[in-house]
Amino acid sequence: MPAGIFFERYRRDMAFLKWPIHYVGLAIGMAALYLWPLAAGYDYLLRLAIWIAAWSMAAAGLNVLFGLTGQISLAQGAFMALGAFTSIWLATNGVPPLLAIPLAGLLVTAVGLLFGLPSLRLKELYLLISTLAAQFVIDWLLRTEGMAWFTGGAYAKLAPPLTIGPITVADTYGIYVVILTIVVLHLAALANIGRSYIGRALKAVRDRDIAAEIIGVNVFKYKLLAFMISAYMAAVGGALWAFAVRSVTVESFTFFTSLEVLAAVLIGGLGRVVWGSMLGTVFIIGVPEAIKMAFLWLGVRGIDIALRDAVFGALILAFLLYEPLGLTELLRKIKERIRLFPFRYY
Amino acid sequence: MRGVSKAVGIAIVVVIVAVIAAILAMQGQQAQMAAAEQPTAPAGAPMELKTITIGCLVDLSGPTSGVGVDVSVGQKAFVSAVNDGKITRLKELGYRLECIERDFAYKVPEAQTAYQAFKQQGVVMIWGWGTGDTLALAVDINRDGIPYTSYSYTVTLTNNPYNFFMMPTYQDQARAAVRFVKKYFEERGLEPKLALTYPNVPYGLEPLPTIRLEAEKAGVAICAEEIVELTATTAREQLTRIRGKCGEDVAIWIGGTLSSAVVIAKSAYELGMDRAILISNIWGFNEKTAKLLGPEATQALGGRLYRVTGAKMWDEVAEMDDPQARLLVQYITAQGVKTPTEVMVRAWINAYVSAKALEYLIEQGKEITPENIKWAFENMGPVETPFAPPIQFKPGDHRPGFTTFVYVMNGDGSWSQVDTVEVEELPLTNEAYGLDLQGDGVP
Repeated sequence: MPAGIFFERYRRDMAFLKWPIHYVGLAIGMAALYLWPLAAGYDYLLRLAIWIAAWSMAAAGLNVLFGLTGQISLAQGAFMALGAFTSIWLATNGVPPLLAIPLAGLLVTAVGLLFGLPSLRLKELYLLISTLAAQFVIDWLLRTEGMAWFTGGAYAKLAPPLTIGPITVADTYGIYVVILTIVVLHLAALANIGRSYIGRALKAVRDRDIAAEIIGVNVFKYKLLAFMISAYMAAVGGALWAFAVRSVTVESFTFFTSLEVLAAVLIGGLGRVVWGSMLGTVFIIGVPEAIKMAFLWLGVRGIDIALRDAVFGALILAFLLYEPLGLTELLRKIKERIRLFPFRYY
Repeated sequence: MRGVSKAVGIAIVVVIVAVIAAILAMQGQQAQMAAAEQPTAPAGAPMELKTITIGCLVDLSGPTSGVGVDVSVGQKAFVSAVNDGKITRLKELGYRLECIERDFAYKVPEAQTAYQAFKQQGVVMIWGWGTGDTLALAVDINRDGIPYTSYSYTVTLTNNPYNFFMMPTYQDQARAAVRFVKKYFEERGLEPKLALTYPNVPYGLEPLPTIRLEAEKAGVAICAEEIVELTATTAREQLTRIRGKCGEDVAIWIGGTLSSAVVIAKSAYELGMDRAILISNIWGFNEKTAKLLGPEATQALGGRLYRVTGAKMWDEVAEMDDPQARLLVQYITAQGVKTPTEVMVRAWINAYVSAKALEYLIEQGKEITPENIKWAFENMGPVETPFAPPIQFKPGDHRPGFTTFVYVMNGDGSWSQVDTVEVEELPLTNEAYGLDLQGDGVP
């Protein structure tokens, strides 16, 4: 913020968009997000973008839970699977897809609530293990023969086409636009959580739950709320992926999905719900993919798998060592450097 | 320290920007390549060869990479042999194969994204991998009409218009296993009893309804069913229950992959189940079993570990007096493989049948398009190899054959074929196989 400028009203002080550059940046950013496929709209890149969008929903949910509330979870993959299968089940039973997606999220929220209950008694590693149990229990249940009616069993579960009223969205770009819009709306809503009384309560729980309780924060309520938001976001992410690719199997979302989502949050920036989650997901999905394609392009064969893993591992290690606050912090530093160029704070 | 931190930060950003630029550059290049009809000939080729591009989706670093690497080796060996003009008439007809390999680490979303990359690269068919990717991609391949061969052999894929595989279905192989078990016990004057062990994953569950149906028909009692997960480190608990329910003379079906099959075998050895036989599905025991069991367990279990398969095992292939077998051994060993397996043989067969379809198409004067490749698969008639029974597809029914080999592991760890079971062709109906063959239908 330029020095010496202050606002007279809280509304202006708390606004996301304060300066003309924010408006310009938002306009250019949104235009770029929606229109880049028209310039380089290859189906492969579009599907990659949809993949990132769906996973960033789950990452944003986890960031609310972990980053804002301090409650760790390794069950996002299971909630994504539940969201995907529930939305397909709803859609095949006559619920319009655009309604089935959030509805599936709400139904899965109840499951999130259930698995959030141990958070009253458990913390840190113990909570991690209980959410890990949730991941494995849900995953195991979905795989059983008895659940074949819900998951497709020995088949993929096929999602009906994405429709908006009478319009069927069939092409990849159309699907991308719909999914992007849903993601943007959800992330915009989440962006406000951190600034609201809910966000302040969640942060109080994260920083010191006993102190939070003393000042009147209902710790259990807010912990459960965070679990519900987290499960909802993961479920909607899973549902979006289901309608984008139109087929999911019980192997689509696994324990490794949960790990990916957790890694995205850590790399993007813990507590940076929107930017951290998005950038982290871009990194976790985009970088290995980019390394893979770069090796293919460069004609590196034979050692490409080992090299890919080594490069990706080295990048993660570099982050953990030199920028533990994540990509958002790195970008903030770059922004500040550019803003003050050629001068610096130190 | 701050300087280092900044330098690393800048380096990371530069790397990310560079790889993204590389992707975008490659996208443009590939789009141009796909649009160009005539690809380049390999260096040193005496004539201008047209390239047939195939997408090879493999697991080289994921949970199924233990066998995924073998598939990659087999497929690449075959492509090299074709491009050297040693097998099929493709080179003579002016074509070479290019297999664009992508490791998807058995992550289904990655396979679904890789598929779009393949499409963009102009592949005319895909050599896919397992149950996860094959089931999830069924929608895409049917919509786009791209033939997809897989190493998932479930019967539920055989009525999908663009799915193909080269081995008898899991269900028909399991039927053969039930018949073998019946014969085994009857020859010894014992009541045939079968205990089922399987992992709780689609691939483990798929054959179960057919096994139960076949056992009922054949008069083989299913005395126990136990879940042994693919990641299990012991199966003593499950085997103890099986022993309690079934007694000592029992056949144990193993529905998992190599590591869980070995865990079950080791547990049976440790529990002293000396009269039980273990019979695994096609992805269970293989040539690596003895190494994993160790010499003592191998010696003790020799003659009691069986497996069903649709292809000859490596020991037999290596000793075959056949030009194609010699070629296979030559090209696979040339890749520096330490323990060749039957999986490599199956990969070779998969690639060979695909190449024969391409050859048939060219000989018929038809253009090489995905739709025509499907037509060739369905109309070229039986394809014979020295490694498997003839393979033939029919429109609407892509079951490749009904002959299953039964192998036994000897006390020295080698494998010998003990039986060939030919099951009758069942109608492709829900009642015949005991499971829903339609699922949600083909989109």
